[in-house]
Amino acid sequence: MAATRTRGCKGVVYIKDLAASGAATQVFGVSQWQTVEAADEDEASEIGNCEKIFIPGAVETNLTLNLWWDPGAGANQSPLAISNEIEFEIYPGGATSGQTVYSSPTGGAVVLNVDRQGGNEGAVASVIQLKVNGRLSESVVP
Amino acid sequence: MAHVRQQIRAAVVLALQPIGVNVYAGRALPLSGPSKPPALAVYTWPDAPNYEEAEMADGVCVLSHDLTVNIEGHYEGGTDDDLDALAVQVEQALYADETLGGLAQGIRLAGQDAARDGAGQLIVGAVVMSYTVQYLAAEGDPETAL
Repeated sequence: MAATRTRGCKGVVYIKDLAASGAATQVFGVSQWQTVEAADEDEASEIGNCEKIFIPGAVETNLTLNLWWDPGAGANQSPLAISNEIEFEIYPGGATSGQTVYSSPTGGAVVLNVDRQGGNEGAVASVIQLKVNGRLSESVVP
Repeated sequence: MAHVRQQIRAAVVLALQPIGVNVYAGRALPLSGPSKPPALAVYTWPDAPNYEEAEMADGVCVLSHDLTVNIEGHYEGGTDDDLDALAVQVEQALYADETLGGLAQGIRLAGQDAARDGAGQLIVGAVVMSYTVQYLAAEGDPETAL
């Protein structure tokens, strides 16, 4: 049996300022997103055993968003400002019922890097890197 | 509504009309009689979607298209200077509104070439001006430029 493929370009990312009220809304111009969850390695090796033993330590979660740069208010990219805290929801296959959504924890995520890139060819782009304050939660869109 | 490509072709024709020569969209007939040169003919192929510049849009894929717009400028008995003068007018007309009335994200120059047909009684010079028009449209909705 083959795995079902999800076309990445049908996804959507919602964000909002962590301090703002209301629900997160779509951020426009997203060309790529990436979450990375990585656990620390805590060594638990014992003398007398010549094979190293590790147990998982604290988990760190990072989020990277690649955007087509659009400073207009309609694109909803303004919460992705350096040092800002945001909430986010990532829908890899779109926000329709039955789709999976990865949501930020209560503590949200901190914007730690904002890169903007332009050149003679192609559109101006931004790369936003965030650290998540906790673990992602995974659920299904009702 | 029509395919965005067709709308862009029509917008290019409209943009070129102030030049004051006959302008045709996708003309397949010879340029003779009342439609004789000087004349411009606009062709819009190929149309290449660019998934590297796509945008996620909640269940739909918004694609960037690189549409090649070839504009053939025909000039009866024209010299290279005549053809270059026509090329100047075409480029100025297109860049007067790079969005072509909001249909496109922009226009890029994609090269120009000249041809000459002296086989008949008249020598007809032609300049082929290629432009790449970038437009956005969602998959499954080719009639709406975004």
